[in-house]
Amino acid sequence: MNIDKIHERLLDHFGGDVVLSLTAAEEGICDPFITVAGGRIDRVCLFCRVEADLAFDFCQSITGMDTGETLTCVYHLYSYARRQTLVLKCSVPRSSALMPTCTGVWPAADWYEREVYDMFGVVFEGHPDLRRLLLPDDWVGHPMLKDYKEQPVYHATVGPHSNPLELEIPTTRENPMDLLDSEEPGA
Amino acid sequence: MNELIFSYDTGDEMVLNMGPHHPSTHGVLRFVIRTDGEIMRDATPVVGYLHRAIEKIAEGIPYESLMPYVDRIDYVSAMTADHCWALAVEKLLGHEVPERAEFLRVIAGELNRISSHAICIGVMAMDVGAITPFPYLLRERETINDLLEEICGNRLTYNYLRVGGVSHDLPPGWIERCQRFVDHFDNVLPELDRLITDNEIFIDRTANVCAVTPEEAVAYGLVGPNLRASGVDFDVRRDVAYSIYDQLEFDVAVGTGSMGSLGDCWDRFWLRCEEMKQSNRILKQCLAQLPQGPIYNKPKRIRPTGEAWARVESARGDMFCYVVGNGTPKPERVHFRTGSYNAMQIVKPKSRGVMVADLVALIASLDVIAPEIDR
Repeated sequence: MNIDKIHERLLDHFGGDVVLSLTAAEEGICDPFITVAGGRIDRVCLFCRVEADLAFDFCQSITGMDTGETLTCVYHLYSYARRQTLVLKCSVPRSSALMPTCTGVWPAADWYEREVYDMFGVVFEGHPDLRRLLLPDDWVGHPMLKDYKEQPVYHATVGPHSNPLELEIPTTRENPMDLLDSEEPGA
Repeated sequence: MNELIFSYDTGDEMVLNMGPHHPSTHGVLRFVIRTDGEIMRDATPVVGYLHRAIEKIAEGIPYESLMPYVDRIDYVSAMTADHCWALAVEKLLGHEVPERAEFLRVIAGELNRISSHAICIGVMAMDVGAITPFPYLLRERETINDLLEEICGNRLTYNYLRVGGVSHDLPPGWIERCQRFVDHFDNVLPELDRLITDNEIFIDRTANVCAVTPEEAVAYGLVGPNLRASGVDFDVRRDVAYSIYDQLEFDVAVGTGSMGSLGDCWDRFWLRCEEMKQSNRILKQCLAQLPQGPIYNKPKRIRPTGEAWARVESARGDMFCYVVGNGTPKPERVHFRTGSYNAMQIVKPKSRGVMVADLVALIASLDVIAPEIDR
């Protein structure tokens, strides 16, 4: 089943919520993708998973992308039964980055979504355990955003501490024998 | 996480930390284990100790400069990881690779797969208590490292592939040396089977331990050897043919549950032994068919637009790379999804109700490499 047929199939069921993008694919350099309206992504994914002619049983990856005013989540799906690939994209406004979770569709989405939350700050509603995955729990900000500023202090797991290379190291005398010489004889 | 570590009032339960520095965790990897005696309630993986922000670094450097970083995503099988990145960029550019370069990539990749599987099964045998196979397999890996060092100068992080080809041609006499290793390796595998695969104690220790059903394997996104051990017949090399794999003959081994249940630790172990045999078979064909010609078709300008994904069969399974270009020499976004990442997710559901010692067998049999998870 090629992307046009998959798109028709989705269009029948979801109407204008799914839009096929072929602009780059027409130039022959990239894979076409289907854009899905924000709140419907979980239903579209479930549909892709359960319909017998789509059968996208393997969620290859869910990842985020900073696209300026919006944050985009990219879903790469693959079907072992049908040997076909599908790319879904879903944008949410940066100010309220909320998406429905797909953990109910594929258990594998658990860590994918945690990583997207960790790196981009997209909140997946209904996720059972939405914590940071790769960064420490007390990390400030979401570093894969293009406007992310590095923190002056590195947050490790136990709160802020200063750079050990910038600590003032007390100077010691060069020769330990000097210590002996400075002692008063007989003191 | 904190509530897990510090909740001591859990009745008979005990909360233990395994790792981050533990010899059987294969890298810096931590598990928070809730146990009742020797039986685990569950083991929660805590990852991120080896997070090196490779995806963020990728946004700040040119496409071709990322290759050494990609090596470090999977340092046990860096050739196949390199192949994934090279393939993604070539697909984005629509760039052709000379045929000899494709052969050299496959030769290097399959050699690397053998050495990676050798480490995996050697370490797994060691983790469950059999020390002897490990040095035997390390000996073979050493020969492979020597061979790979001759073609690219490095023994671990090769940086051998380029966008559009490979960096060096074979030195004189290399094909004979590689042929000698390939012929010798045919005898190693029966020896290994006698030593460990068919060993009764080893089978008792690993059969029926943490079996993963085919449905679970697909739902949790297990890939590569872990997926095939659960009985799903899928190999990227055969089913999403890339490079020259469609010209080569090889069988895809699939787990059968012959010693216990389908998808148990023994199946995963056995499957990697079978894959080494097939890799050896591929190597023989490649060495015999290696064509003459250029090895590097240097792209004139790497400033792609659009986006592309690439999949390769890495030693740890289906490695996925997603790259977005914005018309500048630096990528807009790069994402890698690796086999260990998915394998690690299944540890928590699979660890419920098993012995603490079996967790070690489970992690080892999944062939988890920590930097692949954290990137």
